[in-house]
Parts: sequence; C-alpha cells; structure tokens
Amino acid sequence: MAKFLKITSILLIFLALGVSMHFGVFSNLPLVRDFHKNAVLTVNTRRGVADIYLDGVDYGQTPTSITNLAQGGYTVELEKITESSDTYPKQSFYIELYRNTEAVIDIEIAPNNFKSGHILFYAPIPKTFNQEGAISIRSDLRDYEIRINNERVEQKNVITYKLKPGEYEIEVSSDGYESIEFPAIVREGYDLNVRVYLLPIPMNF
Amino acid sequence: MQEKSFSKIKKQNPISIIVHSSNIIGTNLAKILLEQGSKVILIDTFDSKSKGLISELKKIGEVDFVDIGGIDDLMGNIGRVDYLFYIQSEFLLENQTFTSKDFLEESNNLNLCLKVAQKYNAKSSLISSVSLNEKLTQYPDYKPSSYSSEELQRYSETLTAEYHDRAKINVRIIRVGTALGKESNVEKFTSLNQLFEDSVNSDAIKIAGEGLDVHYLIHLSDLIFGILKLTFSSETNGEVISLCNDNEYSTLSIAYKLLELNPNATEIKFIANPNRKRVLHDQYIPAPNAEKYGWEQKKRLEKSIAETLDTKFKKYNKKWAVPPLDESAYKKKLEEIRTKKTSKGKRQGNVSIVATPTGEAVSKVLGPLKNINIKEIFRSKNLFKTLTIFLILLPIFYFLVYPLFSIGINTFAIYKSTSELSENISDLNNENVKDELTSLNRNMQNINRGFENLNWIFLLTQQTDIYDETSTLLHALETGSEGLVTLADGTEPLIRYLDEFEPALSFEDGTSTTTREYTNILRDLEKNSDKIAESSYKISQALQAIDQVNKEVYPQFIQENIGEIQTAVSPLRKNIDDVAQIVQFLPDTLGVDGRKRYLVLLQNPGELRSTGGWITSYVIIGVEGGQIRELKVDDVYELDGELKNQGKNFEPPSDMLEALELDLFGLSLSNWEPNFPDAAKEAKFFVKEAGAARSVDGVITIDIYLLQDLLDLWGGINIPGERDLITSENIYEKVFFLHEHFTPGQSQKATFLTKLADEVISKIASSDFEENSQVFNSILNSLETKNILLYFNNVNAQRYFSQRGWAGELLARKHNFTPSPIEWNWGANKANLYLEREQQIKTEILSLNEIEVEYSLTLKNNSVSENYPQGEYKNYLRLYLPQSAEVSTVTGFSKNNYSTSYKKGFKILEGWFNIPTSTTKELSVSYYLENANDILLVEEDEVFLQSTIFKQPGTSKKDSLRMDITYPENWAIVEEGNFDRVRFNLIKQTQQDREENLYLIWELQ
Repeated sequence: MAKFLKITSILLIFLALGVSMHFGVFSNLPLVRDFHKNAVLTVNTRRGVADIYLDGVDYGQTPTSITNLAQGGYTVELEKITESSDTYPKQSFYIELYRNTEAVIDIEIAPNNFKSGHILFYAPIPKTFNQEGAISIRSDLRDYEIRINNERVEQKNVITYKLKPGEYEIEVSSDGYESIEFPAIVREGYDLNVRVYLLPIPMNF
Repeated sequence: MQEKSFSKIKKQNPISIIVHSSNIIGTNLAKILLEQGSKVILIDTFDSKSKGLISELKKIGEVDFVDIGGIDDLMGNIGRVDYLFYIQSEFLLENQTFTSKDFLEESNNLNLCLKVAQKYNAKSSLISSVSLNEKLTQYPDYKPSSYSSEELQRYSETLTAEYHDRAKINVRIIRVGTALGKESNVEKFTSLNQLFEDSVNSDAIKIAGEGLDVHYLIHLSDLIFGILKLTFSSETNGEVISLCNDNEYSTLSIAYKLLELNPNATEIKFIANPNRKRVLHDQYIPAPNAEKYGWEQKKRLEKSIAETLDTKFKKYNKKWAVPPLDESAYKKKLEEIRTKKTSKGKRQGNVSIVATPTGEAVSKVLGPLKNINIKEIFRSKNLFKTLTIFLILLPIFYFLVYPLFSIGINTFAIYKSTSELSENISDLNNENVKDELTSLNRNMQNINRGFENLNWIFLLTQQTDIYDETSTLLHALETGSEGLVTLADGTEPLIRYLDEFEPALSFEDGTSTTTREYTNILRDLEKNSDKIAESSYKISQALQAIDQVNKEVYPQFIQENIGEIQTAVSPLRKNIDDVAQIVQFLPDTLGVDGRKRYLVLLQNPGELRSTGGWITSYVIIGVEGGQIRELKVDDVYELDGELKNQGKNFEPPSDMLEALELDLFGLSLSNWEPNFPDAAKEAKFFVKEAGAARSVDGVITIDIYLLQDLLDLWGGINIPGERDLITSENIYEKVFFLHEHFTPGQSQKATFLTKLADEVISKIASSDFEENSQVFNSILNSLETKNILLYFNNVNAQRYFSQRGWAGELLARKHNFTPSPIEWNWGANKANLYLEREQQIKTEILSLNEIEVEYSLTLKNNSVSENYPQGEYKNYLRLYLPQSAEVSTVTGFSKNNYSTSYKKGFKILEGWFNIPTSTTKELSVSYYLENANDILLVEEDEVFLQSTIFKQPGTSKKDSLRMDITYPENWAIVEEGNFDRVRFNLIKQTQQDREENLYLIWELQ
C-alpha cells in the first residue's frame, strides 16, 4: 500500500509538473514573470521630437529608453511635435519584444508620410549545434541593395542570413533614395530583425 | 514413523517439516506445500483436531503426522529434510505462560529441529510473532515472567540466531503479524478482537483509551505466501523479517475502517482504560519488512477486515447488511459512504455545513487522495529514499518522459484542432480563430521545447544534422503560428467589416437605406496595417525556413513527410502576402478619409475594342466610411451627349484620328489606348469634364462574361419590374436590346442596370461564406482572364493590381518578346461573337544575342450574313512588337497596306485586317531580335528567359495559341515550365484564356 501511495504521489507530482509546464504556469508566477519583464525599447526620432505611445499608452517623448517591458507585440505610435501636424501624420509601427533583448527605433519622420531610419529587434531562433545567429533585413521598397561589412548580399523578398555572432556594419541603398548605414550586433540564438526606411532624394528641376 | 516410508519419496520431491502445525498457519502452509508436490511431515500434539486435519490433507498429497512427543525418534531416523517450518507464533499466542518443563521441552524441540536442519542443510524458518516482540519494547514497565511466551520467543529467536551464526545453517526468523481473513485468529488479540465483536454485537465500537496502540496486520493468504517466499529465498538467510502490512494501523483507524463497512455499530465510543499502560509510541521499530525481499501484499487491508468481519457475523448467526465485498464493490461502497456523509452535512455546534455541488465534485475527484497518508509516505526514515527517487526521476522526466509525452500530446492537439480551425475560418468567427491559433501556437511552443530537451539523444548518436534541421523546421512552424496569431489579431477589423457589412441598397431614388458606416473599423484596420505586414513577414520568414530545410539528412520515409509539409505550406505565403498588401490600401480605397468615387465601365466584348469591348454604360460608385453612398448608372451616349451639349468637343489622339478618321472623341471611344491605365485616365477625364463626378479615384471595367458567371452561380436573379428571371442566357439580349433601342433622354436602360446592381450587391451581402467564396473565385477568375481590369489612384493598390496582372497593362519591359495584337472592331456590329482566333509563335534562339520570331494570326469569321449583329469583321489591327525588332516579312493586312510607328518602347505595325463573313484570313510577321540580352539574361552558366505573352481583354477564352521555341544544341533546359520538349524544341498548344508567363532556364554546356 505504501509503495502504491509513493508511486502515485510521485506520478501525481510529475503530472502536475507536466501540466504546469504545458500551460506555462511557472513562467507566469509573479516573481518569475517580473523577472522576465526585462525587455527594453529605445526610441529616437532624428531632427525632431515625438510623443511616444505604446499600445495607446503615453510613454513621454523621444529620445528615451522604456525598460521593464514584458515579452510580446506592441504597436508603437510616434507623433511628431510640430505645428503642422497634417504634414507629419502619426507613424505606427508594430514591433515584437522578447525577454533579455533590446529593441531600437531610430527614425526620422519626414513630411507626407515619408520616413527614414531603421528598427531593430531580436527574435529567438533555435539554438543549433552550429552556434549561429542571424540577421533579417527588409525594406518597404521593391528594389534595394544590402551590404553587410561592405559586401553586397543577395536580395530576395525575405532575407535571413545566418552569421557568426559579432558586430556588423549594415548599409542599405536604393536608386533615388538616401542610403543609410548603421551598426548591428548579431547574437547567438537570435535573429536580428532589421526594418529599413529610406527617404527619397529630393528632385532638383 | 518408518524410515522406509521416506525412501519412497522421489529424490526430486522435497521433504518439508512443519512443527506446531495444527493451526491456521500450519494447515494452510501444508496445503500449499502438498499442492506443490512436497512430502509434508506435520508435528504437533495428536488430538481430534489434528486427526481431522490429517484426513483432510491426505486428500491433497503425501502427508505424515508425528506427535510432538515422538519428535526425537523422527529426527533420529529421518534420512532427509529440505524445509523446516517451525511455527512458534500460534503456539506462543495460545499459551501465554509456560511451566519450566514446557519451556524446556519447547526449547529442546527447537534445538533438535535446528540440528537436523543443520545436518541435512535444510532451509528453515522460525515463525514468531510481531506482537510478542513488540510487547518487550513498547511498554517500558512491562516485565514478562521468566516462562512467558515473550521470553520463550526471545529465547527461541536467540537460539536460532546462534545456530545461524555458529553452525551456519540456512535459517531465518519470520515475525508474523496478526492474520486476518476468513480463518482469522483474531481472538488471540484482545483489543483487536473487541473491535470486531463490537462491530457485530453492539451499537458502538468501544475503544479503551485513545486507541493509538498499533497493530501489525496481514491477510492469511499473504502470510502463507510470505513464509514460503522468505524461506525459499537465499537472500533472507540469517535475517529477521517482519511479515505484515508495512503500515502500522492504530486501533482507532481500524475502528473507522470497520464503520465504513457498515456493520451493526454506527459510532465509536471511547471508554476509560483502567489497565492503561504507559506506551512509548514509535519506540518499537519492527524488523525489516518482507517487502524488502520481494514479498508483496496482495490483499488490501480493507478486504482482510471485511472478511474477518464477515466471519464474525457468521459466528453469531447475524446477518450483515453488506456481504463481504470484492475490490471494486468495496470502492463503490466507500464512495457511497463518503457521499452520504457529505450530503448529510457535518454539524459543528449549531451550524450545519452542507456540501455545495462544487464541493461534492471536488470531493469526488479528490476522494481517492484522502486515503493517502502523507505522513506515512514521508516518514523520516522514508523521506530520504523518496527524495532520492524523486531526484533520480526528475531529470529522466524532464529530459525524456516529458518531452516525448509533450510532443505526442501537442501533436495530437494540433491534429485535432485543425478541422475546428478551418470551420471557424469559414464562419468568420475571428474570436474562435484567434483562440484556436493561440492554442496552436502554445502547442507548437511545447513541441519545440520538448524537442530541445531531447537534444542530448542527437548529440549522443552523433545526429546533430537531424537535430539542427528538425529544430529549424519546428521553430519555423512555431514562428509561423505566432505570425498567424498576430495576423488574426491584426485582421480582426477586416473580418468584422466583412461580417457586419450591410449594404445601403435601393439607389434608384438616390438615397440609401442605411446610415451605417464603418469608419472606425477601417481606422482600426489602417492602424493594424503594420502589424499585419509584420505578421506576413514573419510567416514568410517561417515558410522560407521550412523551404530551406535539408531533407537529405533524414531517412527516406521522413523526407516524404517533410516534402508534404513544404508543399502544403507553400501557397500560404502568397495568400498572406496578399492580405498584407490589400490591408495597406483597403481603408483608403473604401473611403476612410472621405468619399472615393470609382468609375465602372461596362464593356461589350461582342464589339471588341482595345481594353475589352465597346463601352456601353458607365456607373459612378461613391464609397465613404466603408459604405456605398452613391450609385449612378447611365448610358455612355448620355455622357457623350452631355459633353456635346456643353459644347465640349475633343479631338481624338493623332494615331486614332489617322487610323479611324474620326472627328469626335468621347467616353464611348476612350479605350483606344491598349495600356489600360492610359485608357482609364482618358475615361476619367471625360467623366469629370461632363460633370458626372467631381473626382474619380479609380476605373474598373467589367464585361458581360462576369455577369453571366455570377448569374450561372445563382441560377438567375429576379429584378423588380422585370417579368422574366434574368439569367446568363438572356442578360446579353436584355442589356444590348436596351442599348440598341436607346434614345437620348430615355432612362429604361439605366434603371434596369441600377436595379441589377442593387440585386447583385444585395445577393452578395446576403450570401453565406461558401456562396461568396464562389463569387470571389468567379471575380478572381475574371481578373485573371482580363474580364475585369482595375486602375486605382492609390499607389499601393495600383502596384498590387499591376503585380498580379490585373491592371490591363501593355508594357514594353513586360511584353518584350512576342507580338501583342490589338484589335478594334469598327464595323458597328457584334462580329466578335462569331469569330475564331488562332495565333502561332515560332521562335528560334540563335545565340545569346539573336532571336528570330515568326508570328501568324488567323481569324475566321463565322458570320453568315451582313445583318446585325453578324457581318463583316472590320478590324483595325495594331501589332505591338519589341522596339528593336527588325521586321523581315509582313503579309495579311488589307491590300498589304500597313504603317509602322513607335510608341512607349514598342514598334507598332498597324492597318486594316478585315474578315468578310464566312471567311478565314491569316496575317504573318517575321522579325529578328538582335541584342536580345534584355530578353535572355545570363547569370554564370545559366540563361533565363522571362517574358509575358499578351492577351487582349475581351478576346474569347477559346482562342488557340501555339508556341514553338527552338534553342541551340549546346543549351540544356533546366526549367521548361509547361512546355513539352522534343529534342531542342519546346512546344506548347493552349487555349489562351489569360496572359502566359514564360519562365525558362537553360544551362550553357
């Protein structure tokens, strides 16, 4: 009887463990959850200041770093502080934050819905035995050229390059647009998502 | 006892001796030994009881009985002994005290038996009592007399131990607990026996004192089996073993168990214990339990108690309401008792606690757990052992059991939820879709986590490639499911809009029937466009990762499964990318920021024109806040008439003027330019000039084929005021009868078309998902076959339509290879309804820079009379060739008269190519393309040919197209699309219902 009870108890404990793991009970425990609320979002708007809203909540003005954010998707709205608000409509970005990572929005809000700059955030990828990280670069333009450490890379719709962890210099350019350059750090087990916005070069008649 | 009687025993048949055999243990032990083929010698006092026992046992096997007085003779003469069972426990319990003579005699008998066991190397057991042993330690004030049963047991055990230690005989001391069951000897245990007696004969079970004294119990059958197992086992040699239930049961707990069996007694009464002795609980530590040596208790304690109780009832000839229960019935009964107690409620003071339904449910679920005595499980002596087991099992659980279990369960959950998900998608039930997808994502996360925990297996088996690829695949599926969750969240406003959309109908009188607008929903959708784009990107990333999984590392049968996954998910990318792109322009085009007006041109392909047919009517649709706010239908003559009335006369484009010798230009002729965006801009111009609309944000052409498709789907529709059902068969006659008999100022045609539009929109809005998906497919098909052309001012929308070939474009960079014929019916008839068309394109690729093309267009006019709608096909043909084409031969134009011009990157050959009734004519053109490197792209050692074969909107779906491509012999085809290959020729024969995209790859050898 005692043996049966022991086995039953142990099985029940393991069953409870399994169910808890399945439903993510441990990661939602108050202390653990707070411990994992450590994502950081840094927002900067070049040539101007903007109000920042995260999922509709006011987070002050740029430049700033918002800390202790929980993992998840956020809609970031940037409203440039200007007298001619019609010229600079509110810009909305959807960004996904993961724990233990920092995301960066570094954007210039230009007139007539144009914008220039980049958004960086890390997303986890499977840790393989190759010990690699990755970088994914995309732009809303159809044709653009990407250079990583001054080396041109093949451009497709979805671009994910597996790279060894380290710092890389990224350059994105397109005909008729101002190219941009910025440093990016590739981490093992993470895909550095890069979204690039290029500003058209003004035409001179 | 005769010695020779033992000589008859076969060598393989063991001889067992049971001393003190006339008791339940001895008897049952003898029965089992006899059944197993052993010769059994029983030794005890010969009396009537033992006489009956012998005759009973003789029926089973070979048995001899020896009076204990003759034990000396027996032991002196016996030639062999294999097993000796010295059952002293029952003897001692029956005789509490002994005389010195009896004490000496018993000890001598034991001594003699052990000597014989030593002599014959027999396996021996001294069966003593746990309770007698306990008495010596538990009661510190207890001083047994020198010749008491306790002392005799102590002496016997000591003697036995000395024999083992000194003489090395194979012997063990088995201390047995109180035997329960049908033949129980519970009478010898006063306090325990009293519990059973009270249960049967009294209203209350009386417990003297606190009832905390402990009992060591065992079912008789378990006891017999235990003695045999322990005696036969060599592991037990020299050991002292407790043979009883491993749990210690107090008098009180036994009393409760008795009450649960519903005997006569219904309560427990505690009475003073005048003979109370000081008890040192937990002082007594029984010898190691028999479980240590592999013995297992087979009979549950409850069953043992029930059997004993039943024996008591029989003894007193009393009827027990509940007969002895089997295992399952016992559990059921126990549950009934618990439920009964709960339903009656407990009373605490004046407060009655009544079980709630939830409480009852919880009680039912947790009921079995109440039996678990945590204290027992985690007694200090067991805690370390339990913890050790737990710690050993924990990594096994985490790195093997849980991952496998989790992967299995979650895979099953995904499989199960897939059908529900598709149902919810069909029902546009976004909430459920989101829940299902969230659950799907969690399942994928669990599978992934489980798989990661198994990585050690791949490391040990050196299959890291399989781990890496599988991990990538699973992660891609997880990322994809995450993307789908975000997508479902982002598209929620779109689903809401589609679900809640209620059209404002009856535009005939200029007012709408509903004021419902969807501005806020569209604003939400606009706000979510980045989220949707992000989710689309994420899904694309996932699909790319799935595509790139290297199947080669897997065994063959898994390769096929992965291939199936790759094939299954591949179409998702385009669909989701479509949604993301549509969301970019949908809110704006549906008038989220103000009214948007669209010009719809109804074209008649029976009289073919550049963009599909003669423009017969036009519709202005005003959309604001996602709702149709304006719908105006009119004949094209009305608008052209209005321009004339306003004195606005416009000259046609020069090439049109030259070709057709026109003097007036208006909406009805505005589709001269074959590139639809150009024609759309012309149409917009006339509509604005006539004041039909202040602004036009897009132009859409539709032809009668789409309407016919929809009417076929619905089996026709009723239009108010029309006598007949409008079907695909009569719609053409109806619309063109009205047009033919149109006179300026007449509203009959416009009214009919307005009502038709009302009914079509109403029908679509009231249809279920399945019907609408058919409508959607029909519209999609019309877009592909160019029965609908779209031009929107919104840049994102126009880019989207252009990418999909829905914008009706004729572009030099796209149609850069084969001729693009543009026909213009100038015969004022519907001759195109009687026309058959055949095109042949023969191409020879001479080298990377040189291509020769031979093109022929054959038209057969099946009209048999000159009467409308039949007649001669007066066709002004423009043949758009690549600008660099060097034309060598042209034949077939009327009187061989044609002109050549250049426009927008094309070389155009144009002239009349008329086909009289019942006549077939062919037009041929040959040309040579030098510097064809904008058609043939070379990358490393591969050659790519990418081009589009133009289809003029409005031409029949049955038109025939044959294409032959001959390529150099030193080229090896890598990608041949849907061509057939014959040596160095690619051949295709098809009905040209849509534009043909060429994508061919060769390898240079």
